[in-house]
Amino acid sequence: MFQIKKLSFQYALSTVPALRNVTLEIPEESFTLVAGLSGSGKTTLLRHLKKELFPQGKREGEIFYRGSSIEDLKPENSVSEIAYLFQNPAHQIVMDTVWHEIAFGLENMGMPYEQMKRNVAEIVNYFDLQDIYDCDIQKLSGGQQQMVNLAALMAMHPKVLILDEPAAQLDPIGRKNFLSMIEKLQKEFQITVVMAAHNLEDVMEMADQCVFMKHGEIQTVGTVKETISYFYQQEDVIKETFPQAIRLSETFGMKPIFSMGEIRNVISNCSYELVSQKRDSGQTVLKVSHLYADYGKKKVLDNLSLCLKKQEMFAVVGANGSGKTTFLKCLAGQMQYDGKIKCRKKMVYLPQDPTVLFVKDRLEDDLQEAGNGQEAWMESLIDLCDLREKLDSHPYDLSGGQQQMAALIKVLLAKPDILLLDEPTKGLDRIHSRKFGKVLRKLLKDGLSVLFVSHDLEFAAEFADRTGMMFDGRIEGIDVPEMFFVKNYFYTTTSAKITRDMEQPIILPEKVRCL
Amino acid sequence: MKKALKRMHPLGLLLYFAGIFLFSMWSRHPWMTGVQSICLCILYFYHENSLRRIFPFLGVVFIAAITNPLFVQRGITILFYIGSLPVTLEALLYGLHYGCLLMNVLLLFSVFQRYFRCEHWIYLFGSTFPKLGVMFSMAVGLLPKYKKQAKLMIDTQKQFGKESPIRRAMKIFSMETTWAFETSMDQLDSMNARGYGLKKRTHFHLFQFERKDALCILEVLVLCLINGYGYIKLYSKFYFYPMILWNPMGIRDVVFMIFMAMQILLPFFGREGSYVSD
Amino acid sequence: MNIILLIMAGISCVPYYLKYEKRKPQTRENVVISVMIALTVVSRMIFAATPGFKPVTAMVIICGMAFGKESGFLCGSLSALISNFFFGQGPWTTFQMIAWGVIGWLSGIWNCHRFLERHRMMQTIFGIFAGIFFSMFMDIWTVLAAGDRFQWIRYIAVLGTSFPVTVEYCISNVIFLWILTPVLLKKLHRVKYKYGFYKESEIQNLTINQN
Repeated sequence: MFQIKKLSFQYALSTVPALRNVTLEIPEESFTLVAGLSGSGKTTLLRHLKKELFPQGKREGEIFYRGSSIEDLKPENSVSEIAYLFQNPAHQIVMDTVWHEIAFGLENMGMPYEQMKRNVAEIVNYFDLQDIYDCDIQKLSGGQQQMVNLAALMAMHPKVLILDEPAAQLDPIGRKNFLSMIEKLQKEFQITVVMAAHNLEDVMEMADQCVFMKHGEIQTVGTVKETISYFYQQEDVIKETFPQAIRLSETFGMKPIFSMGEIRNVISNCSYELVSQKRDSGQTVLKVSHLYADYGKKKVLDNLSLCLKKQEMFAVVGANGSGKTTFLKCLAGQMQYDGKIKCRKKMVYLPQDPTVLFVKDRLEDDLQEAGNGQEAWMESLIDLCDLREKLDSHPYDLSGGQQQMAALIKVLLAKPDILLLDEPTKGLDRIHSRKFGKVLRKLLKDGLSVLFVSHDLEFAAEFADRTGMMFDGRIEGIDVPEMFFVKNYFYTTTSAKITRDMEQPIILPEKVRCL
Repeated sequence: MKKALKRMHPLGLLLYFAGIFLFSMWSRHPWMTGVQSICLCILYFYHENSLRRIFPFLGVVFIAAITNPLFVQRGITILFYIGSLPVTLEALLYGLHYGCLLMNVLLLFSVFQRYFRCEHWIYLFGSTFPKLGVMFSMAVGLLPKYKKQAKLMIDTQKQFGKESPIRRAMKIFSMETTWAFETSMDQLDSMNARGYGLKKRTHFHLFQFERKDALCILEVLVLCLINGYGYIKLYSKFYFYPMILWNPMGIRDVVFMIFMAMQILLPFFGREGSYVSD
Repeated sequence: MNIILLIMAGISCVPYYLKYEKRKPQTRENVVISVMIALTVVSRMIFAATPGFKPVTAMVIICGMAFGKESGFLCGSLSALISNFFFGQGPWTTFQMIAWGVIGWLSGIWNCHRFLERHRMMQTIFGIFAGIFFSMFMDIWTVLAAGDRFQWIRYIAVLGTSFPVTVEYCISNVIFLWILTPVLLKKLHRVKYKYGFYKESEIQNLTINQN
């Protein structure tokens, strides 16, 4: 479908090239996965597959689409045949209602009304949007929005789907639905899919071809097993983003296997020991008892009680809409509630979207605005969060992980004793979310306590001291992660599912050592 | 009635409202204005179900009634003097009539706004102004997003200590602007990627023009014609100054008043639930 | 009520709109203007705590300044129309549309050589002018609404009673122009770069912080 020959690219105001000598072939009807750390040039490469989205800058090399140069492709063919889905579900929406959004591309192509109506009707039925097609699109959840965006693209009957980290902002259920829809589309319509992703869980086994990028260059290309074996032989941080099954099989010295049954068989014959974390916690700093909250008639929190200890990191996990965010909002005093919240210390709430904290147009000014008179601490935080090089940038030019770090510094400058985090790892790749977790653990030593809500089970399993599950407006099953994830049958990490019935269940590949 | 208006085709809806709008604005005769006031109040209460909401409208009537005599000294029945200014009954009544007329227009607009939403505008003018239609839809789509973000920003800023409301609003507004423009990049790309501006746009909508809509438009037009005839022949002139001359109300007047009431209360005759008739 | 005038007010917007429709499609302009419109409408809500002190006019002026007279007109008139979906539609909508549209349009003309954005004095004058113009223009509607014919005496009376409001408009316009112009223009500069308003050769001369 695509042939890229010796493509190099440098952004107009940048001094380093974003792509270096990329040569790649994308076969027809295949699923190509483009992986790599943030800033490795995935998006830049993807944008070169659609000429409307070519970035501004210096370009060398050639790109062919079906044998002819992509720049010679007729605009209307390029628009309808090559579909491009962006990362953020909400920002790429153009129109106000769902049906209008789906019809937008068709209107642009000048399609007659009757045909358009049929197309839209078909798409709405295929994507199961009957209940929401008349809704305000901004009121939908992220998962639904991304599905509508995909539907809007499919209405134009594309031959290629280019997806730029489409599931990064979605919750696990939305993500699953989205990925299975992609799989279905590819199977039924033989669409060529090119997808960039940083969280490879569930995605990797779908791919026919994996492309790993690093610093604007292609590191390796091949089938899934080939690329994994390539990385087995070397030290590379990218391995942290691999699916848990792969990481487990590497730890136990197996060939790359996705099948959970096979891994289970191998592990049960191995001897290993668990690496456990040492935990120390002090006196209670936050005591919540009998908390009730509701949105009108819909009750959200129902007799919720919880204790948070000093220097403890507490994770509340649960599905969307279970009331996790509401709980944090009550603690932060942004919502009405009944019940008692006993806390003498200062609490600060860091919302999901770090951009709501950025005031100034330069990161350094922005941090200084928050950290008046605490320069020494601010400097140490900047070093801790590894943002020194970025001080001169615009906060919106930072990567997702860096934005999260910058937001963390901003809330820490308010001198909180308890930090409330809402989905701290949303949209981050595992390398950045682990970095974030490590920073938090370091801060705990200075006397901070952290309460976070998340549906990122891996993050909770690795960093939390205690974990609880939101259900029916309460927090159930509070326990240390080692016990919590083992006792859970369905709602747990992949590793725990694999090793559930063994003597020593493993909750994460990182928490085990082979003997 | 609510259903009837909701199901009406935008063109019919616009004609229905425009017709009443014209008649209520042009109304010169107290009888007609009175009929319109009563009918529009019925229409309004049907939607609001609250007596308190009518007070601002009555305020308009009141203000118009008392200010007119202050500016106009015509009329022969002098009620009393304010200083050396004569206040006449005619001017007072004229103001009252005018206030009712204003109230009618305002009531009409408040009902109009319930039914005539953005998509109606876009449907009616989208094909004449395709680009404007898109911009309109885009802005309307962005609004809830921006509002939500502003609320989040305000909530987050509140935890960092107190500020004066103006200062905080300024800060939030500046943040919001940055955020709005940064996030609109994706929107621009997504429009380009889907071929906006490539060809002449067609226009998609969910409205359908059917026989019932034609019928409804016909009804509106016929009533407009009848009332228009009545207006031109009989009710376009009414003299408040120098003195009010009342003609006795005849059968003919009653008939025309009924027609006016019919035009306003047309949706009440709606065939609710029996719209499948074909 | 002088309906002819009202209808004429509505129709007088049409030529501008048609002119805009005829121009070559510029997606980025459309995006920028709809963002500006949405921001203008939202600004009316963010500053809900301070009645009478609203940056709407200032926003329209800045839009005209940064993106030219046509965009200024569109931003002004469409903001009025859309915000009235939330604040109440009425016969005054057409008047507001024209008043704000003309203000945006004039600011685009006035700023042809970056006259307006460079001098604070000019901003002050234009802010006061815009405040008085808006007030006087909307008072025409008030007079038309209150009486059958246009009477100068009524107009003057209405102007007199609305004098405090006019002063408030002027002051808030000037303050917002002073504060927002430098801030917003800097942001818009970056936007213009990111949207590709500038040509390749111009980019090298820009000073925008980039990573």
